[in-house]
Amino acid sequence: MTLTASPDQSRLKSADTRQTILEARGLTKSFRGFVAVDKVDLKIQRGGIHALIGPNGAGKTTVFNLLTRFIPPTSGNILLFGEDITRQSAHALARHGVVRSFQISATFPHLSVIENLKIAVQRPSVSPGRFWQSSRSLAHLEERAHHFLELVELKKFAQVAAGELPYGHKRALELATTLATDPKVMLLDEPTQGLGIEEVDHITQLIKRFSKERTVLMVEHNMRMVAAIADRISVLRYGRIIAEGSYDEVSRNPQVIEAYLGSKAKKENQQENKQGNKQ
Amino acid sequence: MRNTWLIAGLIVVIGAAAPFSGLYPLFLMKCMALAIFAIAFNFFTGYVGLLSIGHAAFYGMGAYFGGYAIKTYGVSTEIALLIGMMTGAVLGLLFGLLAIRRRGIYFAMITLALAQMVYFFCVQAPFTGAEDGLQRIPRGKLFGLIDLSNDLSMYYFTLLLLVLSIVVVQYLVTAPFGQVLKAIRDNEPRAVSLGYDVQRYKLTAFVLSAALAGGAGSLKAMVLSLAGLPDVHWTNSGAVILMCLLGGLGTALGPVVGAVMVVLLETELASIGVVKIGSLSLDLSTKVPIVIGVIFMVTVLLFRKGIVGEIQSLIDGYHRRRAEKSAT
Ligand SMILES: Nc1ncnc2c1ncn2[C@@H]1O[C@H](COP(=O)(O)OP(=O)(O)OP(=O)(O)O)[C@@H](O)[C@H]1O
Ligand SMILES: [Mg+2]
Repeated sequence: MTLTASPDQSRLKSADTRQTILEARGLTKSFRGFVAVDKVDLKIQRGGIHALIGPNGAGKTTVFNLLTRFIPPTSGNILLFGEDITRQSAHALARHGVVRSFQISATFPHLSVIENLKIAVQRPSVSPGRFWQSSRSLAHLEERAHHFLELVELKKFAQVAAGELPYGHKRALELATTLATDPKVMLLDEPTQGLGIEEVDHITQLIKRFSKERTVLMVEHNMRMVAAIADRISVLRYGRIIAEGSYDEVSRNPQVIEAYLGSKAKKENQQENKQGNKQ
Repeated sequence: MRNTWLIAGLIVVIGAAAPFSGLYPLFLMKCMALAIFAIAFNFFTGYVGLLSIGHAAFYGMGAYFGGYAIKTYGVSTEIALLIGMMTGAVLGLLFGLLAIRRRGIYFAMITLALAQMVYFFCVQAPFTGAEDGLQRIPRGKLFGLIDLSNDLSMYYFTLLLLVLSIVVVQYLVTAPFGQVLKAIRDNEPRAVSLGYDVQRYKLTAFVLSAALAGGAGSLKAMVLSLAGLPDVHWTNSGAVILMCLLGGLGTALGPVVGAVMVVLLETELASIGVVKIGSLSLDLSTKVPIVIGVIFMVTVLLFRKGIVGEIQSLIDGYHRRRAEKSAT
């Protein structure tokens, strides 16, 4: 691990006085006896970027699934603005502004790029109980959809089916649809995985820009990117948080160094079967 | 929506001319009632992507309840249709509440099991007339004014309902509601993460589909003056699946084409009777299901997307190539 950039100092200082938005208390998940997430305590503070890192299989995606209620925890609680949301449904949580992305790019492949964005921006204005609603009644949202289209420089591809986009564009579209829901907290699972250097820079800039007014929790293997933009880092190993702090603090932690060096060989192996079997 | 008007226009023209081509209005009306049934099925399975094997229950119960109301209480035609739709909707809601959270084969199995329960209820219940069915159902008067006992008047009324069904369903699948259904089918977890209550969307689509199926059932009861056990039998659910797969699942015209094909095959094969191939003599009229099965297999193997689906992708491919050519 090399230190190529250090986080904005002024942001770091104010971190402790910031308000906690999302909190996990003793969050635990076991899959038929196998404990994937073990009594995790996590406080995500308003504004800025919190990175969740750790070797493959550490339980990062499972933490995301728990925080967004995609799977129920075995024990522990989740709080949003201090309110217990452990029993809420996944879609209700999204409506409260906790919106996630997925480790494998998640678009609607048979819808065009602009339709993908419309699905995101129209959500508060539609409901199944009003199935007769016309597209004309949502015309005022077009502008907003196009705004996000331009944000990720996909204007040229507006009418292309999302499934036919090159991989990098798919990830950009996914980020744009997440942004378009106007989330309070955005949970990104490896947003730069599989991207070229230029695309990584672009996505990094977008996330950084977005995080100014809102909050990002991000799983990321790209250490250069984590070092560059994360304000706070939690390190997960075998389902436990083993270190937390700034990049400097975390990268000097002997346990973290051991976790990363120790699992290096294993990681190389896992990289190959990774694409297919994760959501 | 432009395509929809084109399709609707096409059906109006063909439909208006058809009775003068020597085809019996009664035969055509039977096709059209089944086509509406297929449109209803297609709206759910074609756009939500879950296979229902329970639609015969909605259709058959719609036929019984609509038929019973017009026969016993002498309600007007449109009220009988509404009763059929309500019957379908209520049953659809019950089925849906029990099944909609299941996926794949589990959903299919639960709808089949529930439909079987409805079937056995119909075998036992006194008002269905059991094996004889509900016979001599009158067609009544539309809005209490227009007498539909004449085949040709009933025919044009049925044609109107068919076109209406196509337009309404096409409207729904292209409206924001339908876009969300497509999104859910494409990537359900993503739809959830954007805040969509996907179960309620699926349930709504299922109830709407069941309501239209119930309406089609009551229409059929009035067209043929008969509602019977074959309408609620699971093979009727099978038939509607067959129609949509043959014509093209998830297309606007597929269910109509499929319904016409299946009814044509059934009646033609039954009337051909004995066929002699060399020394082999085959009585086709007793082997209708086998022959339809073979035709079905061949079609599905040759045209994966169904007949209309294949034509549509040919046209789409042509347009895309032209767009690419003009772009370079
Ligand atoms: N649904 C499940 N059933 C059983 N085991 C599971 C399930 N989901 C995850 N696991 C296991 O939990 C552990 C943590 O998995 P998780 O996907 O959270 O890791 P991760 O940190 O996201 O890894 P990666 O960096 O490879 O994405 C793994 O050992 C995995 O096999
Ligand atoms: Mg993961």
